[in-house]
Amino acid sequence: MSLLKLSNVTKSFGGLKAVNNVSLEIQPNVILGLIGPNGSGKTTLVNLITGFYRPDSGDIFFKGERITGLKPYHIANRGVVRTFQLTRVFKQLTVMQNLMTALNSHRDFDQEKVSEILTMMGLQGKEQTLAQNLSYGEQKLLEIGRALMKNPDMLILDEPASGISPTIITRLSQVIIDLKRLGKTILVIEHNLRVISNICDTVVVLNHGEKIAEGSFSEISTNQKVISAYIGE
Amino acid sequence: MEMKVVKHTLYTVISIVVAALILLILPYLGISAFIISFLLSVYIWVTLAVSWNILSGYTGYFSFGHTAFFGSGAFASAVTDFYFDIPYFITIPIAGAVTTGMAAGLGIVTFRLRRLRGQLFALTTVVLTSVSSIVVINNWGDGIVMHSVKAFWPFISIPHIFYTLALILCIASISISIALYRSRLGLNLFAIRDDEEAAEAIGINSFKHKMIAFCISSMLVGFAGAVFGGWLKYVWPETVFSLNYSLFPILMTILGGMGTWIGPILGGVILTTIFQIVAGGEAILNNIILGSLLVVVMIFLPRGIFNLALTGYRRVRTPLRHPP
Repeated sequence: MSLLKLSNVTKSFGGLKAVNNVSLEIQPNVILGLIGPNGSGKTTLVNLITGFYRPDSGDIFFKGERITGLKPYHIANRGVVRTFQLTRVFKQLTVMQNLMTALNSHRDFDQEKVSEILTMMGLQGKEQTLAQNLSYGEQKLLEIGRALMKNPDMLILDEPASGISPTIITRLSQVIIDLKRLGKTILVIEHNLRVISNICDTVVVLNHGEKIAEGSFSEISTNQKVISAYIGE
Repeated sequence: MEMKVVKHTLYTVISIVVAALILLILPYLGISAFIISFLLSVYIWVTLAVSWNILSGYTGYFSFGHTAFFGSGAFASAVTDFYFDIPYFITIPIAGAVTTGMAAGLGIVTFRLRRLRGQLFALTTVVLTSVSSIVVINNWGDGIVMHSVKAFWPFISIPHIFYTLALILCIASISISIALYRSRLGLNLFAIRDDEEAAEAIGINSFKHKMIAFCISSMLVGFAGAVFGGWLKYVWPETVFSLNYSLFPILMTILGGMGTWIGPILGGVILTTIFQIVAGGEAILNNIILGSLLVVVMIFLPRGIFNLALTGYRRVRTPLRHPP
């Protein structure tokens, strides 16, 4: 059974169909890349999955349960956690406090898990640093670390590699691959096609709100519709 | 780590208890009625500043509604005392219940709507102030004279009773503020303050948290209004619905350090003292001082005295590893 299933999901803003009749299934323990030109509806689709937008029509299922129209915090507590295109850490809180916000209670605190996440993100020794004093790349890693504290079944990363240095991109790619090894399912929106080709098992391409291709990176990279969407007719 | 937290909490509790006991016996040490009255006013203002900080400092939702809750609390107490002959001490929780109900009513509507975040929430609290004061003026425009509070112990005078009530309320507000600041709930409120959508994306129910903060804040203001009304004995709309009850707590909190538990206490004590010394409690002069201070604080001390002192302390404590 698929972990996440979108069935004919549509969302319009005024006259613009940002997401048009998109159906999608994500199997457990895969890394799925979601790509497409600017304005193709990738972030809108993520906002629909995570409850920030309500679809005009269609349904979304997670682990077989309908999650359409649920509030973002309900969806997060069910196991779908996301990061944002522009990093959104809690800037006036320390690194440790940022991680703690993802726990449901102080009783869930697990020092071993925290250390593991800090090490994975390369943030060890910065526990008491205010998030606003971290570099942009470190903030990106902290945001992912915070999402991981939630121990989600599915992690959605919205352009994790944008605006960060090649060194951190390499670390990030490794982190995503490690997460898959830990049994997580990951949906990555990314413009950096090298990252997508390196880490993703499957790639879905959106254009003008519609799904135009799905397959392995090598398959979609030779797909005529995809080439047209990126380069033009 | 755990031991450190326990020690810290223990020190805080001991400090509060010792301070409360000293302040509690102060009126019996023969200090003047003026000082008692001044301290009472400090307690009321600190309560207002601390309660404002619980909503606006911790969650980032700027409220101008303190006047509405303060005035409504005072009138809820006066009306139940005068018309229903309910003993004054019972009217205080009633006042708190009324203002909590008002906050819950407003919160249910405004906190659900994403478009009412930020400045628009502040505007709705201004509207609440106008509406509540109009309702009160239309019904009790001439004010209400409350029944005399009966001293239940012969050796405690009426001013001492109100001094004690204001002190208990102030200490309770500070304790609640500290408990929130150090709790899981407080951490979630800070997350909402920094980025509400990101907080929801990791599973924090922002609506529930904001409602809790708003209701606690408004309840404390309602209590303060009731204590103040009982102290004045004559509750008049123009007195208890003065905009100062919205503006002064904001200034006090920003001056002391918004979002910290100690900031509003510092700001409350400093400003009430300045008002008393410089203006002698004169309303017009107070407003001139308020306006000037607001501008100066916003420009030169946007993070408040406490945060400034904390930054200075950290700089002094950290050894200079890289000489200039």
